[in-house]
Amino acid sequence: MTPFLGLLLILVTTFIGVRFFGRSTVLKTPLFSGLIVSGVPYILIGVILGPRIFNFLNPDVIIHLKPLISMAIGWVGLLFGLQLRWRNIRRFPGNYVLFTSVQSMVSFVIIFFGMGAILHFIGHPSLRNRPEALLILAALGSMTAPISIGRIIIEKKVKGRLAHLLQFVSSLDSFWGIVIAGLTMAIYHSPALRWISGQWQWILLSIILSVVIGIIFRFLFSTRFGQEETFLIVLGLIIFTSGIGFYLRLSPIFINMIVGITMAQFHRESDKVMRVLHLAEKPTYVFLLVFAGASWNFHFGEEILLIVTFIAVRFLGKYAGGWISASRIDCAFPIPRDVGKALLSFGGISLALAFNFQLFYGGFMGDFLMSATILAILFFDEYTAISIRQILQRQGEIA
Amino acid sequence: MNRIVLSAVLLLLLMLFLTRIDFGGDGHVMAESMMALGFTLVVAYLAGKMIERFRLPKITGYLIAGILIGPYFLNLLSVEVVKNLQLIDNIALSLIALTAGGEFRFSAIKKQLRLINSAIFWQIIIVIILFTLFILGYYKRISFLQNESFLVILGAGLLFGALSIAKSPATTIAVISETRAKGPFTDFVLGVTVFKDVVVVIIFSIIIALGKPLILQQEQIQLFYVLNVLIEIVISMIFGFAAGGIILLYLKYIKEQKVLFLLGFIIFSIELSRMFHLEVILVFMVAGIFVQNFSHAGRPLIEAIEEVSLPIFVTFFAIAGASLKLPVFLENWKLALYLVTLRLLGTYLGTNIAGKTTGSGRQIEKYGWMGFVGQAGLTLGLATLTLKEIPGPIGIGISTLIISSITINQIIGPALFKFSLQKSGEIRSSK
Repeated sequence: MTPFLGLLLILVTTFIGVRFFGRSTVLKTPLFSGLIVSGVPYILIGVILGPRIFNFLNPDVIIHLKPLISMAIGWVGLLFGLQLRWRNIRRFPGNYVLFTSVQSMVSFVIIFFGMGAILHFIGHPSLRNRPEALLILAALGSMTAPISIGRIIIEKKVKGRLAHLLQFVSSLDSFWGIVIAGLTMAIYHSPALRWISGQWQWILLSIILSVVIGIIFRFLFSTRFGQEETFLIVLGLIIFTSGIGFYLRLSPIFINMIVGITMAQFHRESDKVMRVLHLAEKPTYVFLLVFAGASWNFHFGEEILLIVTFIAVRFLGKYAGGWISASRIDCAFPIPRDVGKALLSFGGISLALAFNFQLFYGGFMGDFLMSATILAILFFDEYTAISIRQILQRQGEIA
Repeated sequence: MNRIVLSAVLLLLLMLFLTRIDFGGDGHVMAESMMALGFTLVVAYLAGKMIERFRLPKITGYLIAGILIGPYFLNLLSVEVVKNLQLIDNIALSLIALTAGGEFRFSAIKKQLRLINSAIFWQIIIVIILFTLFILGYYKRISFLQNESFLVILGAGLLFGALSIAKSPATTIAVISETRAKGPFTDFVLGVTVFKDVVVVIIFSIIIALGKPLILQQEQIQLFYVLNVLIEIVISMIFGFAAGGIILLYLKYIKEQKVLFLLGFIIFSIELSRMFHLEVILVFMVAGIFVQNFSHAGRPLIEAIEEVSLPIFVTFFAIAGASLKLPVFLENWKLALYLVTLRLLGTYLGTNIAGKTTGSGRQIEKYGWMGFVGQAGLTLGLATLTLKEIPGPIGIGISTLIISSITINQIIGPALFKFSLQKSGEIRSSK
């Protein structure tokens, strides 16, 4: 199959997926309701189309379509960054940000050291010697996807302070994870042949570049453009910034997030961009999921124990993160200590980060990160569909 | 406007910095191509906005931006990157052809059929005669022809003529789409463009069949070559009708996610066309004509195309600009200028005679020729084919000179066409 036909196949799947995605009536039973939302079926479709089964999306096609993945990853980062408008965040109680950061960092530390210790004793040799993989595994493990919480709040029409806090935390929780991943990729960067050689230079370069691009585009968007023109410039921006990430082997999700944050501080301009990004939200997400499935190269024999351990350590990390934040940070209302159980939802941004790692480093490490993320999405989405409801019911926010 | 200029300059400086980092490593060209695509999209569009101030069409801006950032000027896009980005050419051309077909209304064209046929006929006859006479009279100053026999020079003259009658449907569609022009003058140019695209391919195949034995002096007239081309055209048209039928059914019954569907269907059709040696442009022109004229789905089709056409036009023309071979042009600029002038003269005379003989009015006689100056992909394709069919110094010489003249035609073509649309009073409002 040629790369063009591979792209066609993904387009068709995306097309069908988007039609399906829009219908919330699919799989209504409590046990499986999370499946459609998390997009696991699309990952499975990707597996079926990929080299493991039908080999329609063979390794050659996957390599040729890498730029599109990079672009989808960048899209995720830009959308996330644009949501981080300081003026909006400031409207929430001050301790919400602290709560989010503390539980995120505690989770990160626990997953990092927990998985590090386990890998040290039982791990695969290629895992043991790759601290960057461990850092990114912990970074993506520390994130919470907002989709499950959002869905329950909408479905059950939940109104209450805990639901509000959960929504806030899940919306912002990926920030530290992306920062850690972005810095990790800069620190473990192989030096270029000219101009830039040190790790700090790479970190500085990725931040300065992103801020500069953010300022240029903020400046550009202050001109009045029509909708088609805005679409063109946003498309160019995402391809350009993701391309820079891909080209310099820096994280496109990190670069785009910083670009997004820079632009988000200027209200009108970021709104224009956000509207355009939302138009492509579903197709991009479905595309990412199908492609994740297709390029998922699992080695269950070697990985399964490690993946189960990762799921357990992540559970522990998020639980502990939630417990410490709930007991130490005053949010002006009682927060259940086991709030971390409601912050286990796993999804798009973690998958994009795992993809980012696989794209750059590949090998067993990349495969392991992908497997861990995909299986964790499957497990935690089913789990959180129940745990969030239980916690909110206990809090009296669901009738 | 200052913001646009400043943003473009800053992006240029940023790209200059990025491309000077000697990075190396796997997938480098692929990554560079992606970065270059995003950069080209934004910078070329900004160049289009800037050039609009001078009442020139935006696509002239995209082309100039492409030339400036391309491998032969600032070298922000390397030759390899440009080659990689040309992968989107087929998608762009398919969309452009679908638009051309979708804008082609039998009801409007019917009234001008005599004029259109006459213009195509006279343009072709006059351009071919002028070029043949010019080459016969000037061959002593053309290095690769000066020592050749009369028959070889005659063959070369015919080929120059055949290559010069082609025009760029993409340029026509891009300018019409940008200016939202509507009216009899626009219909005339569009009608000639659509029909001429088919006629040019047939004429070229006939002239190759006749000219090849003359130039190579060893082969007999290859009628099978013409037959092959005719068969390909007929199959492409049949496939075009089928493609139009599928698009129509989709627009009628499913309607959702039209852009995604169109992109998917175009990719599928390009692959099929490659397998069966079909003319992609013809397939989609016929498909567009079918949807426009045999259903009420013409408008939704054009609207769906318009949703994605802007980024595709910008990239296509900027890459076309970047791939214009400036060194080749600079080596042959004098002769290229003669060829361009001759082509302008031939096109003017052909259109003028057609206008006069059919009594179509002053506007067609005076400005009609301006719609047929732009040259791009189709001519480049035919020049490449010439190189393949006539190997050796004569084939190389002809295609090099034609490529040099395309550089000028492609830059002045859109501007002249926009000017003629302005003069005809058919521009509604620029996008």
